[in-house]
Amino acid sequence: MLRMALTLFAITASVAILLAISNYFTSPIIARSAKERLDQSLNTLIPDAISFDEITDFEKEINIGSAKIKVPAIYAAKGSGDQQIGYCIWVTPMGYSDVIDMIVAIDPKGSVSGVQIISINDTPGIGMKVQSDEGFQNSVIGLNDSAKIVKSAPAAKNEIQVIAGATVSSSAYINGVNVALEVVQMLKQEV
Amino acid sequence: MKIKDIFKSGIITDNPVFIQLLGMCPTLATSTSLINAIGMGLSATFVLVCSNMLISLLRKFIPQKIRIASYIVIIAGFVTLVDMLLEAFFYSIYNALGVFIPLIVVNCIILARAESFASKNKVLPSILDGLAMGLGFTVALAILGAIREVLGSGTILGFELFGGVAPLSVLALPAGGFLALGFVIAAAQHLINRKRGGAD
Repeated sequence: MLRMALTLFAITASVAILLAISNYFTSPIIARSAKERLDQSLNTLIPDAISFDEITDFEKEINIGSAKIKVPAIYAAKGSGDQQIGYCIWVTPMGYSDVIDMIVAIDPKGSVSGVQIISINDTPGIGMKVQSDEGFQNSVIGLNDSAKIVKSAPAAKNEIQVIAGATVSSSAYINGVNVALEVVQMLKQEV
Repeated sequence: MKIKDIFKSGIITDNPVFIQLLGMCPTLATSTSLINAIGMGLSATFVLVCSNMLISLLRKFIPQKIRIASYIVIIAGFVTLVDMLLEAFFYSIYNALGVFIPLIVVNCIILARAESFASKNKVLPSILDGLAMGLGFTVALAILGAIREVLGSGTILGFELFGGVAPLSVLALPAGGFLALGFVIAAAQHLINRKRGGAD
């Protein structure tokens, strides 16, 4: 009996040590490459920015309809001379099969200037279209008010047509943009 | 001769997917594209080789009654290692395979080889068995992944084929995965049986 317990303990302890060692070596690499991917997305969205300052004192969850959407980070983009040239809002709406991580850039006037998807794991060839369909992506650019989701051709400026057959994923994308717009509204009220 | 038998059995006559029908869940879930299929196959192969080696080394040391618990701890340890390495060095594959990397722990091919081979054989044959079974799994996944990517998304390894002709999206979906798997298994069984002389 004791031998069994000791054997199992020896095995679990050695596995734990092995994992601790490998975590020690891989975690800095993982953190660095995550930072690089984030910086790359931010720089693509607002190429003129000299620095991106993270705004930390902000509530991290926004309610939209019945869903709660997490906002992991907000960055204020600063141009030359410390001038505010936009915001980048990292939002995480729920897609079809997984959370979509995306960054929405908003210009100082409060309209959407670009969106970058960091990670999306929806159905290949259907939900994944939100990452490749440029017409859809361009339709949210310039939006300055919360968008309505429509299935037929949009009639008003704030109506965005979802991708046919990929309603869930494209609605999630639009919800993400709406959350970002709301965050910027809140930031402006605070100032 | 014996080495040749191990590989022949792992890749063809005892192929884990086509013949033993093990590991169906990762097979269906990760064969939506060729690169994902190969990434999954090689990750599972790595875990299989390492766990077979360690379990074979420890086979006289692990008491019979706690063998399954010990195997699972060892397998889970290697899977977590693969998870960390993929996230650090192959992020795009890590991102595409998502939850299916941690789920290699419960891939029945790995526990099946630990129980039926590594726990009864010496270290070197166990490593080779892990390699052969892992390659068999990878080959099966790659065949399925290539078929589903070409027909379901109209691409191969991400390169556009057919110039914009609408693909049969159903093959990229779970339902198409089942259909493709059925046809591929039927074809594989037919070829293997014909080689045996059509006995069954």
